[in-house]
Amino acid sequence: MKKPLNISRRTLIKATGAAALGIIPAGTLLVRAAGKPHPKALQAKSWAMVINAKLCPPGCRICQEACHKAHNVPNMPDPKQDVKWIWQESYNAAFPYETHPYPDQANEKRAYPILCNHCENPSCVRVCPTQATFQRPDGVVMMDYHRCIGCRFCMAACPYGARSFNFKDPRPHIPSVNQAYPTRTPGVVEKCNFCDERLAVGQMPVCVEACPTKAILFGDLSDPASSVRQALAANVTLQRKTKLGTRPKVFYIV
Amino acid sequence: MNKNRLVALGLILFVLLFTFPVLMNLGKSVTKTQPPSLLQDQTAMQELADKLGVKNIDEFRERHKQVLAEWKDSVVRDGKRIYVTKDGREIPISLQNLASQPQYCNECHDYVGIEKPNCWTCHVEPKGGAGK
Repeated sequence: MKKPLNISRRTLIKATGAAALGIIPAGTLLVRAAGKPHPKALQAKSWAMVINAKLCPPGCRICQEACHKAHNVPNMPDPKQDVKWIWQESYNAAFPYETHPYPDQANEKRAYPILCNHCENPSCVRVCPTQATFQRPDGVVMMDYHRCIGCRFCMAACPYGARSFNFKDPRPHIPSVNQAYPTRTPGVVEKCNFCDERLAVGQMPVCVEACPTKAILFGDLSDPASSVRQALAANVTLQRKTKLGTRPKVFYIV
Repeated sequence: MNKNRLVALGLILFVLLFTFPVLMNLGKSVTKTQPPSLLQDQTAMQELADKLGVKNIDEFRERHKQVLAEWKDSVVRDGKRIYVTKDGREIPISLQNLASQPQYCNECHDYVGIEKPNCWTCHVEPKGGAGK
């Protein structure tokens, strides 16, 4: 009589798995293009921004205009279809958990520049079903528009409203198209990218360079000598909605 | 029989309808469009291959889609904007530079009967191109 095959379920599954892996050529698992960063590329362990809102002149929108011009952000006619990378909010809207009924006069009037916080623990990245939005090793939360399917889970997940959806073709609503940067297509979500395209060639973000009062600082959070760390050491700073646990990397001097 | 005649007529009609596309195109050239202008110019072909970092136009034809996908991942995911080819050449990753004559893309895609590339709905088309 033939002996029954004496093999446990666990061994069988392991063996099947190993056999399946053997079939797939190793090359298909770890394909990455051979690439090199630009020789001048700025690198950091963790990019962060400090905005000194005290230095923001009333009514100034220079950072917003410069950013939106550089990144081909459209002016949509319908406010419900608004697209924005950096914009302004009142103190109460920016820091809803740091308010009480008797605010100081200066803060009440001030407008705070608001942008994607490039969180250390980004909820948008967690919900994205296609990994179109992801966190780079240097902390920048990036978008891969080629992969975005427009499900807008990230918009629901982001507690800062930092993401906009392209309901319509944005091209006709861009006053002058910057030839050096792509526009977007209907059906994708977009947001601030911490000027990844500029860091990659050795330039600081557009808003940092455009600010007439040098109110925006940008640097490596892991480097104690960086401008952001020095500003954090010398000032009382706030982050937006910290209790949600996203650990934002945009800090405000208020 | 009357019935048989109807069946035969139906069959003939069916065969005619079914083969209509073939019959209509009998004696005509397979491709409707002109061969791409690129194919008549050896230097332009090699230039295009060099810009993508592949050996020749045959490898371009075979691999351009993959290389473009690699370029996108390299820039977006890894922040690396210089492409290093197998033989060690370094090429700046730029769609505008590669497709400085976007009509090549369209002509060739047209010629082989596939969809026009939709790169230019987002990427800004190089000046002087006919990418639409």
